[in-house]
Amino acid sequence: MTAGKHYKVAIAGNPNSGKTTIFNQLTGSRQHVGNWPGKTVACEQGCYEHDAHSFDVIDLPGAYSLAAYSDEENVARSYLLEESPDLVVIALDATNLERHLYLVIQILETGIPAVLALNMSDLADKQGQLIDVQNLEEQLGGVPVIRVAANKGEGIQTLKQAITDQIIIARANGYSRTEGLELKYGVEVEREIARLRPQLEQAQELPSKFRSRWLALEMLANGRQLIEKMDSKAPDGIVRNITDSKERLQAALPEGIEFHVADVRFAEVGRLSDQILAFDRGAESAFSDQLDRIVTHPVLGIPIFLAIMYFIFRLVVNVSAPYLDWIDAVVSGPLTAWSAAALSALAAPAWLKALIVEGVIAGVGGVLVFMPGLIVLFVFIALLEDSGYLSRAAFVMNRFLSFLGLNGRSFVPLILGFGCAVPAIYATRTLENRRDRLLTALMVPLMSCSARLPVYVLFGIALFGRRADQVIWVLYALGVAAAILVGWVFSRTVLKTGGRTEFVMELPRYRLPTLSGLWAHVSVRTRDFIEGAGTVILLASIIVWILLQFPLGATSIEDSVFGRASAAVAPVFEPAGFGTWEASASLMSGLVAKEVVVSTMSEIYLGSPLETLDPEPQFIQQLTGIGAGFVSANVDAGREVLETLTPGITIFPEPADAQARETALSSVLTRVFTPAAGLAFLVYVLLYTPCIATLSVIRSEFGGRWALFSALYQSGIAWVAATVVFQIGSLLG
Amino acid sequence: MAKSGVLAEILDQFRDQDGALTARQVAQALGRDPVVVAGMLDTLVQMGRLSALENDKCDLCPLRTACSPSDGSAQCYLLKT
Repeated sequence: MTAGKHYKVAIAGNPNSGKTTIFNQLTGSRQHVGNWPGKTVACEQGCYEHDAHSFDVIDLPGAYSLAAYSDEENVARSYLLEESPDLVVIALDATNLERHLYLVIQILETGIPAVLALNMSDLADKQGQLIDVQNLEEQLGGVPVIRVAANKGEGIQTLKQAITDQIIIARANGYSRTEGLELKYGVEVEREIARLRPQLEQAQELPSKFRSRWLALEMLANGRQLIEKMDSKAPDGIVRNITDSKERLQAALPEGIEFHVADVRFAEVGRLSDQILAFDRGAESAFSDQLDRIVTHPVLGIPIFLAIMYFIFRLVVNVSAPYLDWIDAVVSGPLTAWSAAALSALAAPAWLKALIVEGVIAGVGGVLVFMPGLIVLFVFIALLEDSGYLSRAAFVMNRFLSFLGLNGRSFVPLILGFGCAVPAIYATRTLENRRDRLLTALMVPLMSCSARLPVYVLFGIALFGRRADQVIWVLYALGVAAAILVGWVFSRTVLKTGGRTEFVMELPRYRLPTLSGLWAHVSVRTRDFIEGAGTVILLASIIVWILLQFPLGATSIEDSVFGRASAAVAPVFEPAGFGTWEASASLMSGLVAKEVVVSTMSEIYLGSPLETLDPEPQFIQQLTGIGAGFVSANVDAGREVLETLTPGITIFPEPADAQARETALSSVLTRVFTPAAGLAFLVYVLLYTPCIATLSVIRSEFGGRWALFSALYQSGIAWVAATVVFQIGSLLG
Repeated sequence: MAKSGVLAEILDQFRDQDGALTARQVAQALGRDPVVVAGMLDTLVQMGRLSALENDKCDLCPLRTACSPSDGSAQCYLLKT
């Protein structure tokens, strides 16, 4: 062995292959950030010593290929071409090996000495990924493949040894241009390669460590950079010959040479994978299969899904109720009082004070009060999602839809409709034809979106007390049933469809949800809700407040512009049991966004809190009260969780003087709605005209005619359903 | 000689299709791993044969794990004409 040599090593790999961890393990703390001349992407550089040799190591940017389509790929490619390292360590994610083989093939074809670092091998073992390392080495022409768990430092010494050995072998062979992985690209391409190789082997300006075969192929398929590099000092005729070869190949290959080369490489990736990869399903999969046999059972699957959803709604109502009381008390009490006091201190005009307190705080606060319920719902949806159950639920419902003759693929947009109809309608783009897309888009708004939940919780708690969870569950189920019924009818009438399309889903493995995963889901969705409250609902609250003030001098808000317009519409709802101007006004404003139904009711029914406010709020006392209320809400919520988890067992008996939970608004609703009228109102809210955002998406995706159709047909079925519910409810007493 | 035609087969799928396809759908038809197929589709996008539809709404989708958009398999693609 020759001692004291200095070598250049590059680490290449796909993004997230663990390149940098390998780099850190190789170089320890001896590293710095290097700027590659003329490039915006920086590379880490470091060094280490092994067997008396020293190695400069560069951590190239993550790249999926050497095609130089992105900045990162461009840097990686340029470094290999211009710096000609002695060896490339190709970092691979062993848990996802097939995806990484495309880059492996591209690098090995260059002829640069290489070592493959099969990173995360420990994880691959755990997942049951079986990789035939010896076979992989043979298939790749003898390139060493080293199993590494870089985050634990495992395999790093073996990797260092392999790097040293490979460089010494390559140097001893004079960086042979003839050995290595060699794919065959078909007669026409091989003929052109053979024509160019002799000249390229004589071209001194080309990097000596590259195989002439690869240089020829690159110049034919993707060689702008190489050709430009050669152009000024290339031997006569080379550039002309390359251009001629490309023209001949363009005529022979209909999709083009670049496409053809990529195609052959991907085919090789598939062949390699078939040879070296296997999967040991193991005990974990056996458990997963057993569980799947139950939760996706053709008969039991749907009842299990419905039972889980009922359990979730029960927790949503029961667990969120104590927090709902607390936030409501804070918003309608101290927050309102402090805001009014602050505005008075600033000498704000009376109209501004009224706008903030009666419009903004009553409106937006009236919706934010229901945030705890939504957070609980988001937590449980995230639990279902991260555990892998939600995919099973999708599978079960997909089968049910297909059974009814509807497009199975419609199920994903429909499930999205539980969150918000807007992305759900965008999701219909994945359906094959316009009729299926349109049919699904007309069904989506009937799914109960999360914006309706505040309305359900408000009325549920006010009118149905401890049975609110059952009412909410029925509403969600009714939404699904209505969507399916509408789909079934439309697919046989206005939107007759052809054959059914099967939708094959991949069921992910069951997993134990993590706190960080739950936080990620819940925080994103909660932020989205709060942003909605801070924009659409805020604006709607201000507009509703203004409309309730005009004409100036009106004796009551019923005489305002909004009051009179609502009163004109109110008789339409008389048969459904909620023919009051207040209900009509709330429903009209709900066209902006469904939560606005609640904010409008807050503004109308709660009147002017300014009249009842303490002119000198006791700050310290109220602050103490907020803290005490929060502690009490936590205790109550904990109690509710235990009660819900142990159905039929009373752990904490209700005290005899316990009062039903209610917010300031819900206590008003108990006086103005009968249970039958309240239920009819909820059914109407569930089914009536989609919000403006949804209608505008339908219009942009399918045209204004279908947006109008959606608005009209949903109003029609909402009115009929609400009327039926109220009339039957009244008959039953 | 290596067998060719995977990318050509993908383009044929899109030509037969009146609309977008996800990497997962293409992978189902090919009998290949969706993650690998996502790589092939990205290559076709880079070559200018396909366009990738924006899919930023996935962040709020409760079925995200079923689609696994983090591995690219729920990304929608359209044939460029």
